[in-house]
Amino acid sequence: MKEENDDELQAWLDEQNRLGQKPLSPETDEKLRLYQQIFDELSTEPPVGLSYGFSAAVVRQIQKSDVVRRERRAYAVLGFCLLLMPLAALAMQAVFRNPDLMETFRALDVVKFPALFILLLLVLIQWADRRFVKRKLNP
Amino acid sequence: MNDEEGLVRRIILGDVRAYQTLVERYQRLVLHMVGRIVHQSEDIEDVCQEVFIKVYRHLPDYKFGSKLSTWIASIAYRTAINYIKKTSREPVSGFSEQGPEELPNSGLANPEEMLMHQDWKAFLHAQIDKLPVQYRTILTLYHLEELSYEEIGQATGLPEGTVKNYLFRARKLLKEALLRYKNSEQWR
Repeated sequence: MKEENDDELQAWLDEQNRLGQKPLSPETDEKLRLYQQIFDELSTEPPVGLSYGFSAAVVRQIQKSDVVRRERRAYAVLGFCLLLMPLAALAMQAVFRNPDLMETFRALDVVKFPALFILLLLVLIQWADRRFVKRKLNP
Repeated sequence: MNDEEGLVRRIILGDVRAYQTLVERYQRLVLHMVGRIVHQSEDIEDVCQEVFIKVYRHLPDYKFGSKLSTWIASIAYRTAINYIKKTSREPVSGFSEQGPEELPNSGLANPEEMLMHQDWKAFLHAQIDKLPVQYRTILTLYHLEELSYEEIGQATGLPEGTVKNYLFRARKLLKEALLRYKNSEQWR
């Protein structure tokens, strides 16, 4: 083979390797031999690998973060609903043409204990669900 | 609809098993890319996991404009680059087209290193690890994953001409280092 520059030599070797021909023989030019050795090493699979069950671990991680995301969305909806409640009270007041805001709150005063009880019950259910059920499902 | 398209559609519809199949199919590609960029072996698996979580989140945006492997490789490349930007001081920007023929910090092989590595293969791999990130990535994608210049360009965001230039330059640098090593061996 004639003396060639590095780029031409690399391009030629690329072509030969693609065709599955390794042009190594005892009389091979030193530069060519070095390039072929580099090409061979670069095409050798590295010995490191991922742990067994890597794909399952990725899927588990995704499922966990999906649960967290769904919970976050549910809390956001809940918070929005809580914000809407006073607005709904004001709207009702406007619909029933009651001019006195305090009178509305006084009317709510009658049901304050049942309302508080229901609210506490909901919080308790949420807490128990988190503490006993979800932790068992996702240890 | 080909097999890959069907797989992606099943994943988007929420089929978790299908996603596990996708991970198994491309984990080798992601490992090779991340492994070449991130040097801390204990962090490689975490970065690979991060890559696949990003792939899952962005899969609905994938429009089949490029091969899925190229698209995943581009996410792996960006994630690994961001990781080393956060954790190390290694420069990640590429050289200019007319950049230095020798690498920073006095080039690839120094005499001490030549004495350290008894085996030319170990020496060569040590030199590959010293190459700039873009060079290492391109070498991996070209030789190990057998991607074309165009696909490597899509994965790395580099123009095709630059990809070719970096590939040839990286191999030339390695050849020169190996030549110096082999010459030094004769004098031992």
